[in-house]
Amino acid sequence: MSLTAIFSSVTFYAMSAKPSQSFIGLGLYSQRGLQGYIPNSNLTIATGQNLNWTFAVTNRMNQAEFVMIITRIGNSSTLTSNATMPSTTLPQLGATEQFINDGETSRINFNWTIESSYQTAGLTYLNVSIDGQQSVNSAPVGTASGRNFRLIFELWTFDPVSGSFQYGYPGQTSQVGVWLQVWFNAS
Amino acid sequence: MRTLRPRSLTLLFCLLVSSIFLVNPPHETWAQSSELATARQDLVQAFQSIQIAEQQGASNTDLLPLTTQLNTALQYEEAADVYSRQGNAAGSALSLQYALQSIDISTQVSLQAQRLGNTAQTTSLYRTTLSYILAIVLALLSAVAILEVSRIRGLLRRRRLLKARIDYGGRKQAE
Repeated sequence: MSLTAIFSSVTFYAMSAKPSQSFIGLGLYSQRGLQGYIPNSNLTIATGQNLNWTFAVTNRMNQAEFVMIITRIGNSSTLTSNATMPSTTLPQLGATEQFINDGETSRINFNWTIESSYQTAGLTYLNVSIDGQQSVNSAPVGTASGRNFRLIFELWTFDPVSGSFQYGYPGQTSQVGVWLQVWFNAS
Repeated sequence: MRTLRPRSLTLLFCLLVSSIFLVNPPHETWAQSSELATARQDLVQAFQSIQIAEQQGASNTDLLPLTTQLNTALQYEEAADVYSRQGNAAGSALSLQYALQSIDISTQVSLQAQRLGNTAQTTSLYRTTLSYILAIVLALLSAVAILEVSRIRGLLRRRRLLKARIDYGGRKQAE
């Protein structure tokens, strides 16, 4: 009996899934370099200039995920997203969705252009187009002289229970927010 | 100023409502929105089928092609959404076409995911049962080996003795 219990226990352990910490990673890269992770950087973008960036999303959630990356625009004074809350007060420039298999890293193209800019009350506002879609105005977000804008990227995942996207990915006790930002100046 | 009679007002109202329907037939708009909504629902359903198949034990390698197909369906659904916003007849037709393609792919993915999940569940059950049977057999063999260890040693000793060569050297010396 005891030998049966020992061998059965060993079999159970060998067949059980090993514990692991689930996560989703979000990265952003460009062939030309982003140079924009900090304010006062040299990433200056001219009107009409087309930028080709790429998101890298790594899924280690032990299941396939349906992710959405929301792009927002902010400046040096606006509140950004954090580990628990998205920055829903900032204007949304676009959103891109993707299904990602477990264990895969998906590369998602992000091509954007400042189509035009204008000034009102001493502040510069932008009309930004993402992936060839209709341009979206950055108002009410504007900056002095077009400096220190920032694009904020938030990762949202689909929750089958609620039937909607939730900010971040489900952690052990609560949602874990995932976001990135890139500073730029508009010339 | 003379006010209009109630009958005239009613007639005018009916004419206004009729003209709205003539400009934008509700049935066609409703059908397009319905197909787009169905495309979205089917995408979510197919995604959930993939997750269920994973829980049933389907491998990532088997599910990867399904995820790729689902992304194609997603692109069709997004294209359908873009064309539907154009608000013209050509856009509506393209929107419907892309929505139907998206629905078709999502349905195929759902069916394949269910099939993979069921197969994986059956395979997993066989594997688990076999593993535990093997564990019990090994346990029994181990128990037999432990209980009969002295008899086994005796057996081995006897075989060694039978195999050993008899040395007649003592008899030769005596001779």
